[in-house]
Amino acid sequence: MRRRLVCQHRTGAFKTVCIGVVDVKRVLVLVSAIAMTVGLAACGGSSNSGGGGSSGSGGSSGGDITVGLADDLTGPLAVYGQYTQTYVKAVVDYTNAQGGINGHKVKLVTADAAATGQNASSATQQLINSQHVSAIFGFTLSDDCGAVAALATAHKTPLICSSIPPANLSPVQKYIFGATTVEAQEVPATIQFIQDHLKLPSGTKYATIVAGSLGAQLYGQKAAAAADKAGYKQVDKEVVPLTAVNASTQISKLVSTKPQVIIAEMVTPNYLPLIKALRAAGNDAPVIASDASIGYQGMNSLADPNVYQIGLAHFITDLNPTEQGAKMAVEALAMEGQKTLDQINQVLGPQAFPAPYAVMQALKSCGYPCSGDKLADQLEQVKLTLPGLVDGTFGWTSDLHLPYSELSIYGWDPATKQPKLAQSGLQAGPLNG
Amino acid sequence: MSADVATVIVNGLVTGCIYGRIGIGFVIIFRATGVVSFAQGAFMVLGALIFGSVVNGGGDLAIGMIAVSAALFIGGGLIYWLVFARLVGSDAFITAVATVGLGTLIEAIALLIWGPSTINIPQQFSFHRHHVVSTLGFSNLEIFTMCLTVGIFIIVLIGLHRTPVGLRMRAVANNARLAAFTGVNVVTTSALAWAIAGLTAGLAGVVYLLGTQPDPGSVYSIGLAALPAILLGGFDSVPGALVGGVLIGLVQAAVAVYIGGAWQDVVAYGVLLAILLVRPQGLFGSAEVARL
Amino acid sequence: MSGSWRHLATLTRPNRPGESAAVEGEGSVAARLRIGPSPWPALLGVTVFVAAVLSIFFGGSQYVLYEATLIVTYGIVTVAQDWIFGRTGLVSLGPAAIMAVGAFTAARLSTEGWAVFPIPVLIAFVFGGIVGLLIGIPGLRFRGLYLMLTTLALQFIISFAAQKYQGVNREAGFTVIPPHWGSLLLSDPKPLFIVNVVVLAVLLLTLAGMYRGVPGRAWSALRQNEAAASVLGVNLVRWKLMAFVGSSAVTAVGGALYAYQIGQVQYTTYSLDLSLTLVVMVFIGGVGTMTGPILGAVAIVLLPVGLQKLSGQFSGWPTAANWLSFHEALVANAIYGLALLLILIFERDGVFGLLKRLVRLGLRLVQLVAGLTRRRAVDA
Repeated sequence: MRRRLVCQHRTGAFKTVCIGVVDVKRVLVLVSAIAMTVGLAACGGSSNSGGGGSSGSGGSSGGDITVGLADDLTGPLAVYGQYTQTYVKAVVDYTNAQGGINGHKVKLVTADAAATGQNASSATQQLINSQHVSAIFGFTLSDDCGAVAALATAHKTPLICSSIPPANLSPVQKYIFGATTVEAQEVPATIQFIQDHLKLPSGTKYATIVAGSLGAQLYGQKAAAAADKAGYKQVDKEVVPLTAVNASTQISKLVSTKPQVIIAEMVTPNYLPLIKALRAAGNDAPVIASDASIGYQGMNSLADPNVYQIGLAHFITDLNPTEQGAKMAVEALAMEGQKTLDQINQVLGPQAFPAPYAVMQALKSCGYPCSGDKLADQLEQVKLTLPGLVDGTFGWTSDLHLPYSELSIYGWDPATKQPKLAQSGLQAGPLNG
Repeated sequence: MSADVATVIVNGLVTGCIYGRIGIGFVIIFRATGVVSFAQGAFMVLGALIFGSVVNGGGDLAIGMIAVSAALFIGGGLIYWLVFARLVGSDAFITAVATVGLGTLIEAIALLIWGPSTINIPQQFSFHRHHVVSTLGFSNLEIFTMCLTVGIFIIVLIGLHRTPVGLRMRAVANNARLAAFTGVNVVTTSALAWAIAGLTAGLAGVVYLLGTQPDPGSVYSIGLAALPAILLGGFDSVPGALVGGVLIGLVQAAVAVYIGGAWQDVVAYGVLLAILLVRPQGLFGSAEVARL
Repeated sequence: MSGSWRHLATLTRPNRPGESAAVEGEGSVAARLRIGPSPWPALLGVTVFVAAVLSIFFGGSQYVLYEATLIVTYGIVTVAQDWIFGRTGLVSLGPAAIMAVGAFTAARLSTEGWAVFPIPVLIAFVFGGIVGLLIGIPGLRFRGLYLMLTTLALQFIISFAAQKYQGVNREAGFTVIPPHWGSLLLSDPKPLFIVNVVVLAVLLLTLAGMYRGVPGRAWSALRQNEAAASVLGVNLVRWKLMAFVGSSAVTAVGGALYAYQIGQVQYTTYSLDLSLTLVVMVFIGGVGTMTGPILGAVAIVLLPVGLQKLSGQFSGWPTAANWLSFHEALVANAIYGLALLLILIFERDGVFGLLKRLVRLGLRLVQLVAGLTRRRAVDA
């Protein structure tokens, strides 16, 4: 079995030394796999970045300011993580195009919290200790935000979470900020909308349908409690597990109870069958979806004037808006190659724009280098008005690290075939709903 | 018939057809090549994305479905030839893990090309319900999907039992080595099995897209949902996939209506455990499978 | 497989009885370094391990310590998984669910006054063992597909139970109060790292001893042919149950340590995704080897980190760099899926096997050079 051997025969006191033929295929696999694992492991593992004590000191080399994003960039929630990433990147690029932060360029680094073998904590660790970021955006899941709160506080790095657990808001934690609202805050707004705008009388029959996550189930329970208190009558409550292949049974059952108004928080794909089943059964009941459920494209696909969504920022319905806030958002997103209305509104609408923009303003007034301490203070000072985008003032206060004080509810306009503001100025409720 | 019972029957059948569509590819792959495929979800994603692109580019339902069928047919066969033909003889767990890697790879590439956002297509079907018997009614979409499912099953079964190609596939499924001795090209036949499985999975993805407004991640995550149904029907039984699917669908619908929607999935897995304890080969599976 | 590959294989494995020793130079270093009863590979492994631990402990930044602890925790679980399906041949798709049992135990007990470290970990060990016993009951009957389905069902059911246990009012999960040991806070990076390393070391030593002895031979016989093993007198029930109970207990301990590191326990972490990741780690690293599972954990944990460093190098090509940094996560996933497929097709021993080949290749080159110089010396 010595085919194709290359041998060097020597006589005398030394034995034959033979080297077998090296199989090219094996060597290619070997070299590439070694390059991947050993090389990357060496690069990553030996990142002795000189201790983690000086994090949050606002920058790496060359006078740049680095901000980070830790979010679910892959996996089932990738839609939301990528959506936040697009907006943060747009704000960063827009800021750089306007001259940066007092002349300093802004750099964005991202870490995937849903990466195989990683989690929100390791992603955050990476950003803080290896990249030395000044602030971190992201955290589609409130649980992730809660899990890294202690870490961020210890390293004095402000977190701006897309979702934030109520426990991290009261008492106020210096370095933890929310970028949107807490679900429970939307309950009073929902009930008020039903009473004021839809003008449904006491005794109206309602149904709730929520996804199987704990947060959604809690929202459903609180909404039901508030609705009962307002004198409405519950005829059905449904839960759709996150692993379900469809929601058709729950939807059918709900439709058969003939509700007159529906309060929902489901995963986006299931709104279409819900609306269609209701309308096909001749039921015109309004459906009110919680924030970040349906989105701009979803509303347009459903094309139903009786579908409402709670919203925080106005959908952009004009490619050339005149109002300053909307104009900035359009310009910023154009820098990311997002030029159509669908793309500008991304999945959920421009509500992810104000928070990173506010952080940029805070960095500007902070000076360079901006320590995490000072940045957290500055974040409480920023008060933005973004006409065309946000009603009222956008900003965090020392009492409340949530920036939106008013909620709006959007319906759909058959005339313009776009979402339309139905009611604004709804007060965000207390943290416990 | 009360509204609740009607709800259970209608939705049980509809959900059962979903399981059947996901399961048939699974069973075909398992029978022909012994691989437990965790990659069906990835094929479904590809099907939905390709259909979305075709329909948004101006094609209609039929063209979209043909495009998906062709693409996934070729894709499935190619994947077998590239990957699983080289893993012949490996332990079943090894091939199952290989499908995990394959699924991850395909999904990552799909998301890199198409992006993770919701797939939006113009509405193809109305949801108006036609009443068949008293309160039992199906919408156009539901009628379409059920007919499609039954159609797929009939075509596959006829193909398996009445054509020479099907005979070869059954021979390979039964005993690959013996089939090779009689001159059957095992690699081509197995690749064909994977091609058909890819096609059915792609169509399953398309139907899911027609009924909801999913993003690719949601489509991917239902790939494993049919496992209890397949086991109930018998892991190597093609008609079993549909029968098992409908039975599990009915059970889940009943649980959702009478107990609460939150329990419907865990009950399916409870049923799976019960089947394993009582009759592992399922309703129509062969006894050899039981010794696994 | 092609003839040349088979031939290379004969050169690199220990001589079988009856095979001539003239294929390799008898006195060569390479001949002495064959895998088998030779102590060299084990010594090499231990040296590398100790060196890595020491350099990380004394020289590592907090971030390096965090990643290293994560790797070691995954390593504990993957070594346990290799035990159950790499060595004993019993398929398990539920490691994340068993980790959840350990993690929830540690979290709940962290608030109890009497639960001083290491008591919660020991209780997690016991609970894990009990779950292992429950799996072992159907496991006695099935080994392959049906056992896989059983563990899959268990994964979903435990996940559901964990969600119910957490309850609607505890959306963020249970906070883990850091365990104390005297005045030492065990969730601090250095103490936690050492605890993890100690557990892993104890586990490896115990398993190495067992694999070399009667248990190892019994499990190996079980894996290769259950019927034959039974005929030969191997007590199937006893060894199967020991494997189930032992590996589940260890996995639960891994879950408890994971909970200490993250500081928060909630059910969505311990999903089928995590189970599949852990299984894939074992295969990428090299199933059936001692260090393979750990190498797999290293490879998978450090892959995204490595990619980020790589995208930093591309600053010269802005569009490429931009695209890579925006899509890093997906590229990492694609690489990981592709690597798994390549490893399963070409190199079953995974990263461990590749490192082995690299070492062998290097030694052969050394040998060749040595042979050349010796020749010149003779001719001169």
